[in-house]
Amino acid sequence: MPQTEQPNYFVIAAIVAAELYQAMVVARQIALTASNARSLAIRAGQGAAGFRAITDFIDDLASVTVNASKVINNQAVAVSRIASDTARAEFALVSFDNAFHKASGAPYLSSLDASYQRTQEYRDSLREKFDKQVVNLNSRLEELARELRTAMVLSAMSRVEASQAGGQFEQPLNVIAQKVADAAAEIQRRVKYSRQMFSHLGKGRAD
Amino acid sequence: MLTKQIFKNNSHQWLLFGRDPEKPEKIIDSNQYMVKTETKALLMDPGGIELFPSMLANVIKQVPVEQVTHLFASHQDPDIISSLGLWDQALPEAQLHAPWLWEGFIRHFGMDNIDYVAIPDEGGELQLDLVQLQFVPAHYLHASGNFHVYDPQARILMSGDIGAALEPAEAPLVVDDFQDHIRKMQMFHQRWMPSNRAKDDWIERVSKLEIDMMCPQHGRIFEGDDVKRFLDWFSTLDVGTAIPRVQSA
Repeated sequence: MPQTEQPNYFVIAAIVAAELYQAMVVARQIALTASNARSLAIRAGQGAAGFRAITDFIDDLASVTVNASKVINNQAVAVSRIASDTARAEFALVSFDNAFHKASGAPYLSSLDASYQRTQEYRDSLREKFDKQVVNLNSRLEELARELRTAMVLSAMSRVEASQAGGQFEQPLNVIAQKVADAAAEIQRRVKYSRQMFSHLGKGRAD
Repeated sequence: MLTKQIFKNNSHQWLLFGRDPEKPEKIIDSNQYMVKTETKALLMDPGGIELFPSMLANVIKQVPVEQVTHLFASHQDPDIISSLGLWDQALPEAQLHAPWLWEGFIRHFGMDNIDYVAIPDEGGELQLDLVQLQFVPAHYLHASGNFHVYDPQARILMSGDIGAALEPAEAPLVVDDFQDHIRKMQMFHQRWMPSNRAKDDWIERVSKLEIDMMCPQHGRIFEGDDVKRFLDWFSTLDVGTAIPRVQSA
């Protein structure tokens, strides 16, 4: 009877889900910031025309990030569920092992074989499903990380355009540019952390 | 874990599993029972998740695992049925008979394969080959949906938490001195049982049954005259004592 393991993949997947949920909340803040920026740019008039154009990109970025975070968050929750089921199946196998050991020589010992095999197959199918989902999630995280690089460019461009607006609008437009930069950095941090966590999962599942 | 045959005739056997020396220290010791007929077996209050390996090991010393076709949970407590998620992997074709009231709760222990057979409040019956068992209502003793199992052939009542006693895991299996045993079960019944009305209803119901053995889920089995002694003692016991009585003016 092979020894089994009981990894805490479901905790890691739940952490990733929570990180992505937080990323989604921050992305929604970017959307709000873009809306404020648009109003301000309109009030600033012709001098902030360039900034007004950038707000559309900020809006797009927020929308892409919100949607991607939502999808990844849901997938991470699903992965956590699969990992929990895997842990339960692993625990059942450990318990069966233990029962085999305790019942050594029992007349009906072999009647447990079918249960063991069935649970093992179930566990293996969960693992396979888990691995596929993790690969998929990783590629989505990479994609989101690429999108977020745009945010830093947008922030730099926003600063340039804010200086063009001049006068009383320069400072509030700069604040908006900074907010976009901060929000993007926050999301990037969470995405990076999630990817690190998933790389642990990848290594853990190399068995 | 100890396995003890407590009854046998031509049609079936009653087995007790308990007094597990490997049980973690801080969990309450529990008695699990099995009725084994020619082709089937019913496992009653199969126990907590911590006991599962010992239980499974002892069960397969008695029957092939696929012969365990039925489980019974008197109520929803973890020491009764928190092992369900593991039995669910071991016995995917089995049925679990348990109070209808607790279905949504018991399923939290994990039940993807086993079939939940909800026992209605008025009780029910279960046919195992030539043996007919009765699910006897014991509501509010202590759980709000609660049943015991009565076997008219063997004249055995599996009485769940009624008759339970708190004592060391190495205690004897049968009550040998009823008067002395009272001190081991008095607090348990006064504190865990919430309702004098429910208690009286149960005593009336059970008094009509012919019982040679009353088998609780904790503590010792009552045999012969000790069954009546227990019912008499219980009838005078005030329960639900965590709430102080209001003094009438």
